[in-house]
Amino acid sequence: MIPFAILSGMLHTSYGIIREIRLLELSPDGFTFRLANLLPHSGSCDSQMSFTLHFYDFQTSHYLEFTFSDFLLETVTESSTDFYMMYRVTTENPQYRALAARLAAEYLKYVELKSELDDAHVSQTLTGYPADLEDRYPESFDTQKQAWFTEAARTADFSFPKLSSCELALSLDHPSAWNRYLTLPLSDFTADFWSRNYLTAHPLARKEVNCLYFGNQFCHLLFPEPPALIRLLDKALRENVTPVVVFSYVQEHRLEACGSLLEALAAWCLENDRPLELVVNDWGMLSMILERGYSCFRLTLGVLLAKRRKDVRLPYKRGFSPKDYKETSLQAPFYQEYLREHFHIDRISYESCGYSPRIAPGNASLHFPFYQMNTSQFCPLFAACQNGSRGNQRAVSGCPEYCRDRTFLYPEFLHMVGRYNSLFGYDKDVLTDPERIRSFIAGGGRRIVAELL
Amino acid sequence: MMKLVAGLGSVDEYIPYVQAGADELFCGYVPDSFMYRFGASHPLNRREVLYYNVQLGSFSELEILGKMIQQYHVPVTITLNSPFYIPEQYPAILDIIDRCRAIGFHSFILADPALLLYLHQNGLTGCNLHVSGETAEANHRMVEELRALGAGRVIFHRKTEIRDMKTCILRQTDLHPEAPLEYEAFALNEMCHFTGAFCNSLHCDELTHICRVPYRLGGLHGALSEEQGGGTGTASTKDTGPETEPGSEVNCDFDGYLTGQSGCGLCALWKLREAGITHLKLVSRGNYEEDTIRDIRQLKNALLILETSRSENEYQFNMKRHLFPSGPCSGQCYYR
Repeated sequence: MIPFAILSGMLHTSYGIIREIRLLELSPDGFTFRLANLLPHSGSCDSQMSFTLHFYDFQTSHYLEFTFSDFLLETVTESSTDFYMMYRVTTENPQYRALAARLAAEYLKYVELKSELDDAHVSQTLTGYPADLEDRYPESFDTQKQAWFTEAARTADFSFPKLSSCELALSLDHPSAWNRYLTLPLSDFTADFWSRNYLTAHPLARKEVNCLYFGNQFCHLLFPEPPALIRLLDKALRENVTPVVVFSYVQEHRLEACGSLLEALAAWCLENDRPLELVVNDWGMLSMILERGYSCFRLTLGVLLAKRRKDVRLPYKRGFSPKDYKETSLQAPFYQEYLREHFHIDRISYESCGYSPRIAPGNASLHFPFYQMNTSQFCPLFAACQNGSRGNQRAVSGCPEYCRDRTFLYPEFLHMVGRYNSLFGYDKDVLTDPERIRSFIAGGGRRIVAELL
Repeated sequence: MMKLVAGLGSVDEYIPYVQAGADELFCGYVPDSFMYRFGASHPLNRREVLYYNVQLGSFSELEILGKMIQQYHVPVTITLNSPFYIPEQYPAILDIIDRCRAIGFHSFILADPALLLYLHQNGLTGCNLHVSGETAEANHRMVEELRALGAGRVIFHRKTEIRDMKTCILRQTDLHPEAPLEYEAFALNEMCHFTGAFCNSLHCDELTHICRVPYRLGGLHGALSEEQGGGTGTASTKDTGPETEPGSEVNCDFDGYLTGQSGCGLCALWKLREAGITHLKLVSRGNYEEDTIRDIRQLKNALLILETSRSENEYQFNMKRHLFPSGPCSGQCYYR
């Protein structure tokens, strides 16, 4: 049976009725299909009856539409049941024959490739994916970063620092980063931050830091202990940078603790007579904030809730065009209004993910140069280190923080890494081409967040 | 008894699956006009491949299925569970739902909160809306928000602990004792390395799932020692789950079939029932029909054993004895 997604059809009857049909058996001179109800003209060729078929073209990833009316239609009673009548269409139409032959050949080729080759070589044959480079790994994430960022710093356009209308934030998403911040003055910490990431020479390193993000959007276990969090907030305040507290998803058993933490943060706001920005990645947490009526928080919709298609291999996808991926539900006015009016969302998180996302009206942050692709609540790194297999996952209790010194490395050409409980892609262009950030600003964005993992 | 929900890849599978014991089925339906207009870049549901028979096919096939349902009375839910859509897709989806309802399909699985909102704002009533396991973390507060938008069933995602399901259900029941929701949990097949709701990578024909791309456990700042699991031996393209225990052999049939080979929650049925789960999901769209029939029978048998067992231990002992008589199970546990 030919998959409906690569060959579908519409039957136009003489009464103006259009029936969407599935082609079952395809041959060079016709096809079969079935209907729940009998057609009025079975057994004869109705001159006003026609078929429109959509043949998927694997080369262009688009459908070729073809309509024809020179055919013979007959019932196939021996293949019919109580539930449907089977029909056979026979035609000598040369265009139909050519399209059917091509589709069948492409489909058979795909089936053969899948049965004969491994995944990478199937991709290589179909898309030019460089399967043979899959055995080239970096020595460590640090050497990978060094190679990427040294090159980015060397080739970056020096118009980066002129992005004066845009705030710069640093993401402190793991304990060593926020603990280091607690021990160093902001200027030293910032210099250290860029230096550790081989970006001291990058023009962005000259830009003033306006905000600090504390916490991890993707791993619920990478979050400062409450006393440390308060110290971080106090220090940020003293150093005149905007602190932002970053939350991940919230499992049911953590809701109560999350509620207590929100109370503590609300008290901090009251004490300091100022609002606090929170990045939220859980609908339940938003609901809790809504119910408690906190007015001291400025809420940002996190990356996990602002969904979009992200994959380092997008350029290999047949028919890939960045413009096809720029929009998401965030562009729908009814959804924008809901987020704004119901949940009081003040800002939306975007990522530079190999293309520039379209920005919805309102405040926006652009995380760069790493973007999240996949996340698991049951940490894959913990599973690999503790249980010997990445797939052998279970809920993590007593996390020993394997992510302090371990990671999943991927073939160099893919520009991706398995960090914490997630897979991230590296958008190399965003560090070298200021147009990427300019287009974000032109779209209304006013904050960029350095996410260096 | 908890109900068994299985996936349907084609109309022809409906009767065999019903006869094998499925209480409910779900399927994908992507209209020709939707594919033609939006292509593979903006799929209607999570089965994003084109070259596999994972969608039901045309509206005429849906009409045939409707006739079968009239005779066999086992309902079918239609899956519209992409995590997000682009703005012009929302009215197109409402139109699809209206057309499906006109021929008797009233249950839909949704994952995008914006879609749920859109349907709510457009006055969709009289439908059973199931919140997909591809939605996001499910806690009782999130469920409360989704219930307000019309959700009638919550499908817990694969990485939800049973204790969280239990608390979530209890709290929801406390809040709405007169209007309980239905709750579904994964029971068989296709355990993933990552959480569906947070999986944003490609699922297309020409590129494999990103979780199957080879990787190595490595160091952050330098190469890992062998003791730390570093080196060249950890690259894997087929690491879909835990290895079988040393010394044990995978207990496949002669044709390679083993219940729960790619994910199994059979041992957890006692606890899932205790937690308040009402439906069990058997992931099967696109699988071999014969394998799915065996999966349905095995899960149904496990449920029957559950009904007659007096303790969890007794259930697990009898279930393993009957379902895996000649050796160990797959060890691919959803719930540990």
